[in-house]
Amino acid sequence: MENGRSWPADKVERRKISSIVPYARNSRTHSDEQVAQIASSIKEWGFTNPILVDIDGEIIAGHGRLLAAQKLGLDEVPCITAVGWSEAQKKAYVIADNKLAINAGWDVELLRIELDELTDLNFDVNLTGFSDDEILNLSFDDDAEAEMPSLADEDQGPMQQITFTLHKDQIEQVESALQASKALGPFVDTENDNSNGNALARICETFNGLS
Amino acid sequence: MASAKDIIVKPIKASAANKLTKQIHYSGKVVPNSQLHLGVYLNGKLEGVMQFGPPINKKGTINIVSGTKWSGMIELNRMAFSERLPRNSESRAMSVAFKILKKNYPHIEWIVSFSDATQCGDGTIYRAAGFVLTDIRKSDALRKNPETGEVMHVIQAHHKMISKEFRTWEPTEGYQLRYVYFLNPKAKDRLTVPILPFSKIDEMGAGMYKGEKRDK
Repeated sequence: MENGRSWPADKVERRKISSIVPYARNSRTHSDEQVAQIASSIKEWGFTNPILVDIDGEIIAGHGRLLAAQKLGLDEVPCITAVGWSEAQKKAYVIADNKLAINAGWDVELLRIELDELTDLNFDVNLTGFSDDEILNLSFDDDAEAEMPSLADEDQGPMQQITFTLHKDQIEQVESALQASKALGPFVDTENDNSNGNALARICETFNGLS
Repeated sequence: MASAKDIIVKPIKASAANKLTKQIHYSGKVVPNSQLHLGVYLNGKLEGVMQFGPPINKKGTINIVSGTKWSGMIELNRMAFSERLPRNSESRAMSVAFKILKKNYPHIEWIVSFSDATQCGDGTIYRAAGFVLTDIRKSDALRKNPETGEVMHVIQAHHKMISKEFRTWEPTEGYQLRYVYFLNPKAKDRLTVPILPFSKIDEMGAGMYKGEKRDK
């Protein structure tokens, strides 16, 4: 930590909105809906995050907050000023301020619990920026009840299936061997109605006898 | 303050159970052949799930208790509890679940469950719930896809027809522990494998709690 260095956030001052200029090449977009969400949050909690401007009043971070302030008809907004930043630093921070926030994640379980508790406290959870659909998607289905399923009480029985994986080049050979086995005559006393199973068992009997 | 006695266990839809499991189970994955889904409710809210179904390798597992009918056992194959549930909810929920199983499926004699001490834990909850420990295995059945980090079971790989590729992946570090709970206490006499003392876990260095390796 550079204790001696001054930071933009050290000094917050109110500025007239008319003295602040959006950065013309701001690549971050703000839909009307999102601006309305920011405006609602400012109405609920006030301004908690000042707008970052350069010494000429051009915005580096806080375009959405400015739009929300305008929507609310505010005359002034709290600002912090970046002093001594190069053009490259300013340009990069316009992106970094947004991208670094996006890079964070959520502990979905804790989020669900927190939102649930806010709902229980009759707080308007949409003020958090989460839509009803998103909240519904996070929450578990409380109306999930079902009947006890039927789990059959039965033994496996004498018939069983075995699965083999064959290369496509082997399939023809296997099929032709099965046909040859079937051609040797009917299957008697095998207690199996599956002709492929019988044919395979006959092949194996022969093979086992030879080995 | 809620206590474990306040929880209610009842059957729930597979869709709800799967959603919860995907969201809060450490693996983030469901076992597709789960048949019975028991929800754990606290104050009317669904906060946990226990999913039961046939084991992935039923032929290999069923023989550990001789004379078990094909439908005479089931695996507790996923258990996921939210952090909102009070202490000891897991063993309480399992105790209630086993009563439900006994009542509704009297033909099921025992339950098997595996604890994954490569990623999650060595089965503290099973021991508390009265399971016996029957195997500690450094298995290569679980391997990690080096590209995605996904951990897969050998039989899953077989079903996905990627066995050849699977064999080139590194097995996960650590152990898998097999626990058995007897709904029919008499079935315990037919156990074909030895019951291991729980101290064996530490002896073998297989201890793990909440994803962290536990020292001896």
